[in-house]
Amino acid sequence: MKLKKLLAFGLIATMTLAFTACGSKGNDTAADEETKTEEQGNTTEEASEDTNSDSEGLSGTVVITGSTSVEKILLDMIDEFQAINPDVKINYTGTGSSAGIQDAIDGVNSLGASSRELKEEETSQGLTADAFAYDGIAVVVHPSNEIADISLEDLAKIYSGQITNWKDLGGKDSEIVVVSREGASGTRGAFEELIKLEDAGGLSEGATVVEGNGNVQTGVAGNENSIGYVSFSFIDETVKALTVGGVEANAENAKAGDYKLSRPFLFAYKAESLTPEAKAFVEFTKTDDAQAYVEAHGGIKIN
Amino acid sequence: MENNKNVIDKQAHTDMAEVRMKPNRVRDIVEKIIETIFLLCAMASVISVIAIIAFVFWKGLTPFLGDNSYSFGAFITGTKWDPGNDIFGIFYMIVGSVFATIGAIIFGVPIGILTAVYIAEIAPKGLVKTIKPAIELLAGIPSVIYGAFGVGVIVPLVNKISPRPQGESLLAVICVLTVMILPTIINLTEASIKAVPKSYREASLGLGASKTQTIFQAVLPAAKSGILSATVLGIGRAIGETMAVMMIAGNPIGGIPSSIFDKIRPLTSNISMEMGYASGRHQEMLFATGVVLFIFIMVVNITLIKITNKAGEK
Amino acid sequence: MDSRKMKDGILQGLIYFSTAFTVLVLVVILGFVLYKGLPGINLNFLTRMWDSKTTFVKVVKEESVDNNTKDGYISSLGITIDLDEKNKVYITEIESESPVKEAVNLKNDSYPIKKGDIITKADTTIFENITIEEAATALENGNETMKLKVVRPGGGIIPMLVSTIYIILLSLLISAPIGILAAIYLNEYAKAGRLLNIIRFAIQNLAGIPSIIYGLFGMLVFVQMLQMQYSILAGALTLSIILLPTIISTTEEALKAIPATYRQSSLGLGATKLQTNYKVVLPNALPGILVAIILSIGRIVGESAALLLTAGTVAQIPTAFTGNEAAAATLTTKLYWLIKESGDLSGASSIAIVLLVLIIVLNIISKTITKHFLAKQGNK
Repeated sequence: MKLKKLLAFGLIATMTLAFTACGSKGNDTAADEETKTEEQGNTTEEASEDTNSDSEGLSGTVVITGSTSVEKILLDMIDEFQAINPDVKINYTGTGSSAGIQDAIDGVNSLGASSRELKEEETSQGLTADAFAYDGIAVVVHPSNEIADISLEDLAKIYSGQITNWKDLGGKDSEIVVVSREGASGTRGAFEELIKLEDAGGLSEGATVVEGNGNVQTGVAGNENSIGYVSFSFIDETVKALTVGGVEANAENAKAGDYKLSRPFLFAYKAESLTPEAKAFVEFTKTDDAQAYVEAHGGIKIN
Repeated sequence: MENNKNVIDKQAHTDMAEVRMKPNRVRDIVEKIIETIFLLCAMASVISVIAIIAFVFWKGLTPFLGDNSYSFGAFITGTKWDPGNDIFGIFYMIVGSVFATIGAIIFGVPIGILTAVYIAEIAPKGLVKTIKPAIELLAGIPSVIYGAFGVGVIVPLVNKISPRPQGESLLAVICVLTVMILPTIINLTEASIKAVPKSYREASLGLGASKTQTIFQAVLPAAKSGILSATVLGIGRAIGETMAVMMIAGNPIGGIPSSIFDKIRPLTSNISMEMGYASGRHQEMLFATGVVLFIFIMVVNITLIKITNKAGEK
Repeated sequence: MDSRKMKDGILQGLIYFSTAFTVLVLVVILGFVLYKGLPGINLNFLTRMWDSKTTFVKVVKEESVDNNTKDGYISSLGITIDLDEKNKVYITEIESESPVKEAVNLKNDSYPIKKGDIITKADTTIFENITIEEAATALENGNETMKLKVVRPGGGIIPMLVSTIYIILLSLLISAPIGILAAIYLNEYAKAGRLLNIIRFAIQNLAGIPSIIYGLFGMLVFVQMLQMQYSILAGALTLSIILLPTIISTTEEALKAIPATYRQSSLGLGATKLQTNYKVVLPNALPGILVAIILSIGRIVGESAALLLTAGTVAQIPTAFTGNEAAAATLTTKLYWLIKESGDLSGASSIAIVLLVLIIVLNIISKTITKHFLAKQGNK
């Protein structure tokens, strides 16, 4: 009987704990909000003291949705911006470029993040595109691969399945393992557009499709016959980045436009409905402090 | 037994009714209310099933209805999935899912049954105490960990033996699914072996059969229905598994697999891979994929329920 | 006779092979996870936040007692600094009386600086490619009220741990009462008939639906239609449905194990059915209910497909039930995210180790309860 009582007690205790835990959580949030409003005055003072920030006494929430490729850079920028403007809360959700742009058109976010240029039907709906960084897409192969350079045309042929063996490119005689990304990926969209895959017949049925840059990298690093594409920031010693049309995959070449597989990271928004705090953030992303993060994550600075 | 209990309950009620009339009415109302609350809770499952079917089917069938609809025939028989160009064919995925499931059953069921036989009939008690927790752990490992294991161990291994240049394949999926359905098969089979009366074994041994013969000719046939439901449950688990297979299947955008070294794109991984970002027609088509998966699962479920009910009648 | 022996031998061989295979697979999986993940497990991994956090803080300096800034000691701040492997300036030691413990952020909330924090800027000096001496001098000679840009390094799993616990509590809060009451109804009240058949059919079906379908449903209904966005509530609601069959059937097992005589004697003593259920049936079923809850926790901890579509993958400690503040990654979803976004099998394996430990502990607890419970019943 003792054990039973003990168990009963334990169960009740757990339940109570659960309830109180949730209850107190609610209270905390409420309390937090109170302090926030209370200290609003203070913050204005502090912010004006802060020479780093030209955005005085900003408060509110900025909702950013869109490209997942910009996540690393954006999260760091948000972190720093929130440190300077403690009353501004920025929420970023990676939903993919197209979804982010659509959200901007529908007005359900403050800023849409895109890792591709806006299409005409998108700009025609009143969207402004504001680039805060550039990115290069690197073509990666296994480090043991002898191939060092590839042309856009050959890439299109590989991804559409017209070239299936490395020997056709001057490499060893083995089948090419083509690695691509999932259907809604912004990187895939940008890549396929840049190599004009559509004209070559679209993605081959033989291609492996994986979710995320990370899976491409693991896939390529683990298979000596494979080829894949990732954002510059994912280049590391486990894979080899090819030169494209003789141009090395690095920031300078991409910014100069010599490296053909590059794309902008931009915010899409309707200028007339841009909130002050969203505007401040867009401006902040172009400051040296913020641009340092672009570089830190292998992206390319805007100036 | 059930009926008996009800009779006693009723008797108790009438007894009490005679003893105290007045407070009984209030009590009866309270009891009725409480019972209704209990009933509502029990109905939660029914409501959930109906809601899931209604919403998933509603969203999944939208693209095939009304103006500008997509041909259902083209969807179900198509062998290419290219959302960018509005091409949504899932026949090759159905084939992939079915092949993967059959493969997992071919390997998983015999291995599972034999392991269950070992645990239930042969293993010394001490060893059972080590093997059983191991199998429970196997059952508890999250599927993403199986996926990581598949990426890190199975895919490179398959790559070594494959005539194709890569390891992501139907075979890799089958390997991982086999392991994942093992615990289900082992546990259910073991339980049904244990439920076989001792007299079966004694009779068989008494007739001069060896222990092994007894197991295979007397015990296992008697445990048939349990093994059958274990198999069906295994099929359900294999066809519904998502994360682990997604990481190792290769997920091509088209093409019916013709060998175990070919890549496949299971229905589940099609949904999970693109759902996060998809919108509009593309998203609806993923729900439509879910509808097809759901129909498979329903067939499996109903088969399973039929089997268990039959076993229960006996 | 010989052929029979051979046949026996072969079959026995197959039996041993199968068992060995099953056990071996587990060993290989565990070995793989440990080999890849163990190097990544350390105190920082278990105690830190996931993302590093940048904050500006103000520190009122004390009078300097020692202008010797050698070895990175700054007396006016009471801290010692050093360079880490990436040449960043971090704090190795904080004195007990140090003013950095009184540091405030720009909102004037207390934000005490901690050991291990990285300083990237002091007043106007940016700490980049800097020697310890230069950094120490800049700190020592800074303004009276010094403004520091401090980065608290991340790399830990705390947000996921907390989110996992929140989701467990929320899901159980919703589904445990419903499931337990449903089980009581099915076992104590329901009369055989069409309704009972329908309910049983529904429960059996729920148990067979794969989690990706639950994910689709949760995403459509909770995330989109009810506008909860990716949130712990949307995740928990989805999970509650997933858990129902487990809770109902495990609780029912426990209820069935209670001898009918218990109920009869309670009713015979004049108790109502409700009183009987509350005072006799429920307490006796408690161990079983507890096992149901532990099984459910195990299921939640391992869930990924449904949560990816309903709770998102943001590594933050949720501060609300719905909306952006409530998006949360559990350990399992973050594990997948790591593989997907960064290809980091080692980091993923480190999380996997934490998960495996959790699951083993849960298994042991449920075993222990079952064992005690059975032993006790045997005694009677």
